[in-house]
Amino acid sequence: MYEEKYAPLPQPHEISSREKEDAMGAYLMMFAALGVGLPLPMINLLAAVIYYFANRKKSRFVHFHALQSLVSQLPTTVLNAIAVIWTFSFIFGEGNEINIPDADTVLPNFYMGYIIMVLVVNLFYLIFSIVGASRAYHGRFYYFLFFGRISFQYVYSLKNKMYEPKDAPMNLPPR
Amino acid sequence: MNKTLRDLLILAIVFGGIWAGIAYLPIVWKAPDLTISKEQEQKLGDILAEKSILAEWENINNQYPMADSAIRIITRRLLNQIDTPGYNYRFYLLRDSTINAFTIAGGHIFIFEGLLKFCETPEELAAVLAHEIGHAEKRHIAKKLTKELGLTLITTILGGGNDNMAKEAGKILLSKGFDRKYEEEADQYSINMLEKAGISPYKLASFFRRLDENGLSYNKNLEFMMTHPHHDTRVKDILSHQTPAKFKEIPFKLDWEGVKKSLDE
Repeated sequence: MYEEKYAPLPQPHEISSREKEDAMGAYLMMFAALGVGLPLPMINLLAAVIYYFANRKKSRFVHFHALQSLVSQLPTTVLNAIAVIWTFSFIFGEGNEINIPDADTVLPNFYMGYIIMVLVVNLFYLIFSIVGASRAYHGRFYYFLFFGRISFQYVYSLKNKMYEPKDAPMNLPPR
Repeated sequence: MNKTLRDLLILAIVFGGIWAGIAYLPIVWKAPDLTISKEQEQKLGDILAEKSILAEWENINNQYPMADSAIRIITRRLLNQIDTPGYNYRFYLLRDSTINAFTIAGGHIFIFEGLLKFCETPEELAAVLAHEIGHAEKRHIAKKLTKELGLTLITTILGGGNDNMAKEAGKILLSKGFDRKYEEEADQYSINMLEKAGISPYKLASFFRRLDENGLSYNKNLEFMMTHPHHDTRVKDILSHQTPAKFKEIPFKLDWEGVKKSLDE
């Protein structure tokens, strides 16, 4: 069943050091974007997109890790952006009004629930990214819940012809 | 079930559960207090009053004892309605024909001579002053200070910055009005205060009306309470208030016409 649908998985010893480093880099892009002073969620996402398109053709192993990092970052970015907009909506009221919170200002529970949920999502994302980077560096696979499965299904599917050489001479056994 | 769908459901349930769980917890989440403290506001108010307002306008309380005494009688009755006043209130009569009054910070409230002359009754002046006290007690001033001046400038002035800085800060504050929400809150505060003090809250509405009818002339550099827009809505809001059946008006026993005349002597 597996053999029919997916390409064989490479074992750690079959993966070159370069591939391992490139795969690890997909997870570390987020930290690099933060490091250069770009804490804006959209910039991190842009960095992940560029990294993905620059590296996806290197090998299925690199492609898988780059895609997993990218797709897991997508919802995190959207959730963060909503949190930022929602927070700003409290600060900036109608017109040019700016609301300065004082000791009596109460925040809605629905909003606080969302903010805490987003913090937990980011914490999970951070931990999974660090573990993912470490595993990728050692030539291992690491599947995030949901995102790991869809990334694997896309990259290792035999329908994905990205890695089949086009118009290249093929070696064949004796006839 | 499709495993991909199952994984997605797990994520949605876990994180949606965290959101919903916290949203329905009976916790009151307080926002961080970004305003300046009452002590800082008081100190800043003292500096701004001395270096900015009283440097710009002449304080004429001492020159007109009758008017000064009337202001004391009116404000005492108002302040007696507050259990614990947030500030040590001081009321200054300033020489200026503009119909206006304003509070700057730390309980310093300034009344223009023009306003006193424009008020037909002491109750009208009381209504205006109750509104200004409302701004102070509701800490609108502290918020306005933080918003308009920024914490850096406030800290510099409090740390003994030069006189020009305080003067400029005062000008900035005077040129900016309150947000509509704060005006409504101060109106509401004054309604309650006036009612407790035995003064009809409708005096504030009648004052606004007369102000509009008389075609307001004001200094364009000043954006105080009187020059603030939305009078119509505010009049409607005040008039929609129902005074309790037991409410009894207690008029001030003041020779109001005499007080006004004394200002021309």
